[in-house]
Amino acid sequence: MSEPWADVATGEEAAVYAYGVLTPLLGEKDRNAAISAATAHARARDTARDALAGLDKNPPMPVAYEIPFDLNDEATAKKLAALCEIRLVNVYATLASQVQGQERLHFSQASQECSVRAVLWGQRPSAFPGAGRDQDMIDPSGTASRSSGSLPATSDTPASAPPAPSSAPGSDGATLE
Amino acid sequence: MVSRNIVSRRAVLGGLAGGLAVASVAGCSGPIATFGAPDPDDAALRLTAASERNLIAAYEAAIVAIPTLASDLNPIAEQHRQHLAALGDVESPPSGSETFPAEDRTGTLKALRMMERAAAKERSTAAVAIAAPAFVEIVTRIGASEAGHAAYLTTVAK
Repeated sequence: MSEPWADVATGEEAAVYAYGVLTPLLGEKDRNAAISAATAHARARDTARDALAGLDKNPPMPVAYEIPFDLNDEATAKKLAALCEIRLVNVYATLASQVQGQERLHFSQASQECSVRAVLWGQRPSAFPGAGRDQDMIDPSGTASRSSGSLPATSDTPASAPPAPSSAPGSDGATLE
Repeated sequence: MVSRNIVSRRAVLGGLAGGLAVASVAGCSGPIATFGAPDPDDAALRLTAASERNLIAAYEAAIVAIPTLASDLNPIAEQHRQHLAALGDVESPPSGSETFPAEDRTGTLKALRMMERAAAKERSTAAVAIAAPAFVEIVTRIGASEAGHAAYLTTVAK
């Protein structure tokens, strides 16, 4: 089992990067929300790094990222934001079962915060966020079909992967987990 | 699958396996609970199931009171039914009797939003005391779902 806090640091760093590139494409109101989200993710990343330092472990190495689809307007910016958030819901929900006590509470609450942001960016509400059909929607191949659920999407629903860290420029990248 | 008053951990994991492909059942080879030795996760299981039943009843009452909300609320109610199904065939206390005044759209949405937020908070607290990792994950995802529902309801209200 990998160190849960390392997975958090990796996922949150990816989100910080994503918000950095998507925020300029948003309108003023959404831009403020994106800045708040980026601040929250940076704080979560730093918390994870501090936790790793407390365990005498090094934080994950910095990586470059690939955006999995063309990011060229407000709609795709929101799509990327929602995708990052729902991916983090999956990270936190998975890790919650690997830890105990206050760490579990922290991861559970973090999964909820990400879920809220995902929905506000247009992610279709889901019975099991980040799993099942949500996972279909974040198929790294980008070929997964859109969910056929009956919920109306509040805006465009993510259909492909969040920015994937790549171990080297030009590589195919890796997943957030 | 479920004894009269005892819920086995297998019941939970069976529900998980049917609803999600996320849980490893390795190490959970059989029912943990026996008569006289309740499964420590039973309390969380029953609490969560009862809460889901209450939420389903609340959405159904809201739709009766304000039929124009049906298209927005039915899918959310269905997701709570999926939560309940994932928990397995669990006995729990009868659902509450939430009622909503007819045509109070704003008040109804606000009440549902508060119920979802309370449920999400309840899931986080419950997850801390759960022993079975697969059950922790399902309760965590249910909580994330409910937090998302609360956010969704703010968009419906606009």
